[in-house]
Amino acid sequence: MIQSRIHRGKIFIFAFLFVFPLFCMSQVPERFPKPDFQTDYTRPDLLTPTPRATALEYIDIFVLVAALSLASYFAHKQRSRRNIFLLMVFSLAYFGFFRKGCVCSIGAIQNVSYVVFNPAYAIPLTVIVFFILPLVFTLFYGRTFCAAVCPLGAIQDAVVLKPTQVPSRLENVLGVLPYIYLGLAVLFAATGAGFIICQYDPFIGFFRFGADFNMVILGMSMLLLGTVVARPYCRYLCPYGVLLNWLSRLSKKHVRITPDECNNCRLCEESCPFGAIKKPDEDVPLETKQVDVKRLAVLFIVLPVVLLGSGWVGSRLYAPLSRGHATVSLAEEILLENSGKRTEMTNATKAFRASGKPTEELFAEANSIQHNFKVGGWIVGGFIGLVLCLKLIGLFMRKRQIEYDVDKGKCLSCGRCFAYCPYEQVRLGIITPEEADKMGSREVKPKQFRA
Amino acid sequence: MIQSMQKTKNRRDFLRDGMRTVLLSGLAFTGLFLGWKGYSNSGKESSCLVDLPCRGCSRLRDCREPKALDVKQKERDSRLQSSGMNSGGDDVR
Repeated sequence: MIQSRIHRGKIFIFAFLFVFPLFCMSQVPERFPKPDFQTDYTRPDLLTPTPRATALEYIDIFVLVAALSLASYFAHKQRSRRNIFLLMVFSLAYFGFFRKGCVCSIGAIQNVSYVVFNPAYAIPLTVIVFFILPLVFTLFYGRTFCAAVCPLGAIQDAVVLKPTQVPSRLENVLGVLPYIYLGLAVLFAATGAGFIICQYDPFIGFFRFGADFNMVILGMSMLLLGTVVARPYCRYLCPYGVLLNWLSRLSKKHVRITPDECNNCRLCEESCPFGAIKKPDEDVPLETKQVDVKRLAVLFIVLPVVLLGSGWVGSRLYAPLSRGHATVSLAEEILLENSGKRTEMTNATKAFRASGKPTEELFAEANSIQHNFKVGGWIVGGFIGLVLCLKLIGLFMRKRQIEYDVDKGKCLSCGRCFAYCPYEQVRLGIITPEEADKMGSREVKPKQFRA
Repeated sequence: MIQSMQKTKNRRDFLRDGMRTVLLSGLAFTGLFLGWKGYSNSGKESSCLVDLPCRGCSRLRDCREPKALDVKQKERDSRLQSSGMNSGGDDVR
């Protein structure tokens, strides 16, 4: 009954999300009238909402704390998918549509990176809290932030209609993308090139009722994909998810599928649309284990080579990456014009020449930024190489698993699997313990495994 | 067998608890460091969130930036001036 209501609600939200942007392709509201300079220059629209009064920002912090606490309570104490879903809808409305997706924890990564490398930057208190607090909650209760607080997760969760399981090999390959995105986001923010997470946020157009046409298309495609592949952005792109994944593995408490002991009834096996349920070990032949050990040894030997190699590749990418910085791209345009390869001046080069700043100064600045990109490229490349190696090591390492349990890193604590467990039905008083026991083989299987 | 699994579990739990404590301390330190940075830089020009005119900005009242202080001073001066003119007018009347 509850599931069907949630499903009907989702269809409504899905229809709303697809029809609404068509009515709201209007531009971002202007705070001030455009000045008339009698030129063909068009002023770019604001990318972020205008700042809020300080007192109102404290309300945002309060709402965040309350939402995180409630999400953890619903997931751990109540084990209620319905309440998690309702809180998720509230978060979508408040942090998404009302606050226009800003400030958000995902984007806060960039502010933190920027402040580390630019000591003069004054990071707002709200950004600090939005960055730190979900991480702290994750260390205690798992990814309850993803389940019901993050507006980006909520908008995708609302359109999950017919989720399919992604093949594990493809899942492993796609799982590297968030690390690359995180590395690039930190590199771009640290060098002052820009905040790419905000720039390429596919859902911001929905929240602000207006965005660049390409971003609206990207957002709609992502939502369409999200109907069959649950939360594609969260799983294969979200850079904040990388941090939450790491911390969630160490969480003090984490949601479990069953409130009791697992009887390996297999009813929950396909219940997770995110592929976050770990199955009990199959009997692995000794030969396969030996091959895995050999592969592990080889991986440990080649690890330094992979790190250095990927670091080198990262550093070689400094030229195309640094073009994302306004100063470097301006310097390149000036260079082209000075060498006569380009005859027509751009608005940026016109403005630069009018400022009277010497070109040597601009080139020196651009060189320094490119140097930063080169150093950053080494670090980001090395980081991605390390992630690749660790992922491969993880594939060959076998941890003993005797029952169905959640993958603490991947599990978003959404509570979908709860209802599939017969012992959850016992807890709710829907069936008797005897009926639940009949569904599985509790008294046989786990003990057999241990023997 | 079960005993050895229990031992491994205890060891894992111990390591996990240790790691969690270290990470929590790290997060607390990061929060304090960022808070201190934000506070110490809040009166500087760089703390402006959007590069737009101050008039109409919802943060103007609390803002300690030199540019904002200038705007507030000008607003005060103009208010004083206009009230002075008004009071002058009353006297005349």
